[in-house]
Amino acid sequence: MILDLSLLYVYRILALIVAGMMIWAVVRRTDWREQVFALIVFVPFMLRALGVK
Amino acid sequence: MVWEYLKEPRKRGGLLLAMGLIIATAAGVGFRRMHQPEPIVAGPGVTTERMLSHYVSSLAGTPADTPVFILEGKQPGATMLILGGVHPQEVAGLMAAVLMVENAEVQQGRLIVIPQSNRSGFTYTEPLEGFPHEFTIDTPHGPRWFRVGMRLTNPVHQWPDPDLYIHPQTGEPMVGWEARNLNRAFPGDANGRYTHRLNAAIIELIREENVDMVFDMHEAYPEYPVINMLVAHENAFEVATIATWGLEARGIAMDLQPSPKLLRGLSHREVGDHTTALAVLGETANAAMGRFRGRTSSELVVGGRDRNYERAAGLGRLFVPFTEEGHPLISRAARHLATIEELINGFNEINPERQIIVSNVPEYEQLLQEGFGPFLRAVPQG
Repeated sequence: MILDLSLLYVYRILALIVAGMMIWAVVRRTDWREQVFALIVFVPFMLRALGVK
Repeated sequence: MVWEYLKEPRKRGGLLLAMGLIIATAAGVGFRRMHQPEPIVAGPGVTTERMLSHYVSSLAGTPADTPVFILEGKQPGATMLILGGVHPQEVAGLMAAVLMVENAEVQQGRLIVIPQSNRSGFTYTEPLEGFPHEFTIDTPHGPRWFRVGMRLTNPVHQWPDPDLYIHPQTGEPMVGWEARNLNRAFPGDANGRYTHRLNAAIIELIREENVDMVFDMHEAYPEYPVINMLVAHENAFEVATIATWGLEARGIAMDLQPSPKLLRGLSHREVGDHTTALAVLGETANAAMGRFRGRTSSELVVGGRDRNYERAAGLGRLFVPFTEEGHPLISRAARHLATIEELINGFNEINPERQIIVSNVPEYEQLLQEGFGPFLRAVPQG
């Protein structure tokens, strides 16, 4: 159980890092396509980081 | 002017990010709403209401904990456990259990009903399948809503899946996600993972309450061979045979199959092997679960009508008849209720000295004519 929970929280932290990187990409990239793609990745990873999906 | 604004990358990024946060918030609220269980109103026959964690304390406060309704008669007799929602996508089991809780009254013996056996499975639907999250039934008191879940425990509650799931007690290998399948993990482990603790609590309930017979209500897609069928452990074959005769006499076609000895983790196998209870599982046909289905909507879940399945039946691809009337939820739940009645009749015939006598169970024909509405109670406000 402890191993499962540890893995779950590691996964959520990784998802949070990915979501953070996507925020950076949306704000800093100059190509609109890259910004939109980053946004599409941001939404599910943010939900996973929050543990609701 | 808007175009000029969007041409500036930083401003465009800010706008997109705001949009993303709005979408994530709306989706997050939707996902969280699915964790709210549907209301079930205890009828006049319910004498005790408790949580399943009463039997395995490690479930307390977890999303696995689920209500247990006990309907006890004044006269002593045998005890029957009725399981709905072991697979939360198979909603006829949930509805039959709800009808029992809200209507049945026990004169002799006891009924124990768990409508949402895997409550975690009611909190999500499978991605990319377009499943509805809930459906609504009209009643004289207003609409009542019920959740459509998925077969397995929510991965938010139990993760990760192993590559290969090995059934702990027998060593039978299965695909990894079956580690989250309540009906592949019996008899469970009180100190194990989430799903296994749930199994252990059900087994402990059976032992502690001296349950004599268990009926586990399921559904399957119409192209599945085990459908409109009872699957019985060898210890329950006599009672299940009498029940199928009773159903056939009422014009309700129901086959009977012995529980395979090498298929492990299922209630009809492990409950029979690990407790003294007679173990029977029932299956009805749910078109919303199959691969031939068309648009997956709450209308399909409730109405059970699908033109693709009519065509598949015409091509001889199904194991049940499928006409334009389909297999509505009301007929599937009514079939489970009629099976409960006939299992009780069978048990009483074999054990006349300790019977179970139940009244006010909605009749099969009555349900088909009047629908769920008259048999669902008003939900108390506040």
